[in-house]
Amino acid sequence: MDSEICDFLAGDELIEVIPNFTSGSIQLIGGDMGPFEAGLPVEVPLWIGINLRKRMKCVLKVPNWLLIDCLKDLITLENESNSLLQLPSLHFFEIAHIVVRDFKEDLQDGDQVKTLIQDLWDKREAKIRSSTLKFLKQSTYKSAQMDNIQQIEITQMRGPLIAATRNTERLLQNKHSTQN
Amino acid sequence: MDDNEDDITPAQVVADMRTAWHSESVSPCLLQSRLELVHCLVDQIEEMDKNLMTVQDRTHIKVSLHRLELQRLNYMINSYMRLRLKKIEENPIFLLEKHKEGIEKNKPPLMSEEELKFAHRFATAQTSVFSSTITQHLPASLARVPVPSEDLSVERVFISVESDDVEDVAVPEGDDPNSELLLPMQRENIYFLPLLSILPALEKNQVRLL
Repeated sequence: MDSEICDFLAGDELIEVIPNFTSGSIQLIGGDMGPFEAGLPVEVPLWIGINLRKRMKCVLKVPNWLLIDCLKDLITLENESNSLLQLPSLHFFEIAHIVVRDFKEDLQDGDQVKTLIQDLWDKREAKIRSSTLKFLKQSTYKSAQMDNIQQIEITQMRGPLIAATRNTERLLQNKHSTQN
Repeated sequence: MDDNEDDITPAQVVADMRTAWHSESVSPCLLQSRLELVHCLVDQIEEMDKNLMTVQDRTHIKVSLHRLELQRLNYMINSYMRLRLKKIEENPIFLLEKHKEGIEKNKPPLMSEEELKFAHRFATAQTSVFSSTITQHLPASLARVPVPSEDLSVERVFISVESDDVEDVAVPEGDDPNSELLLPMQRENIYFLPLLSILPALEKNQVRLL
């Protein structure tokens, strides 16, 4: 698993676009899409949205959670909470990244949105980092509850964390086998 | 796989394939084979490909979305197969043994027929290379290809709980292996924990690797 796979998986998340063409529904293997009616919002997977947008066939109906006020609220809540906040989508950061990159004409105040998302990312990363350090400093507990963590955050921390806990486990096994 | 395979919609197959691929990409060991999903999807892809060949207007929006979907599915399948073959290449003899043991215990097959064939051929090729280069020059007592065994006891994984009726999971404590910590498993909980503690729930598809 790497960030490319995360991006790919985020491509299957649904977003709303407003097409500028009319067409019947499309029977894809992964499910039916549409029908598309010019001017009417329709839910499609992100990968379809990107393709249509590149061909100037639609504009994005920006999800509420990517609006500045909502992002500011999320950051406030994230600040107030000790644990990780539940984000509105499981692939929040990947989708945000794709929207900022591929739908930037449809996004108002794109630069500010980028800064706010970075802010939120940094706040969560700081929480994850400090709790990871706390976890690795002890050897009593082998498990940690990490509700609301995002797939991309797991992907980022996995390598070092797994390598470290593998070593901890080997040391513990040695310790117990010499004690007995 | 269930007996009522025919009742499953292609969309469900795609979703299952995505989960299988996702799990394989984060699992430290080879997971049970889901090659029936791959076969099913390849059939769908070939059929769609044939249909698309007959379409007159190749630039139509529908055609390009169909093509794009086929590319995405192909990518997913290729990546899934590569991940599995890479794991098999790392330790083919051990996995062949594990497969055999699993079958004897009536577990679902670890590898598909094709993967078994691949593992056999790879193991034979590897042994013959070792023999022609190194092992034939060694004293008989050392002339063996080592088969490292899999040590899953040191592995930990991220999981999310996908079902409502998962029993509490007992995780041994690090300082005293005789005492355990009980973890309540509620839907949508995410844990980082030792693989061996969660393996039974994982095999029942009650939790998902992240």
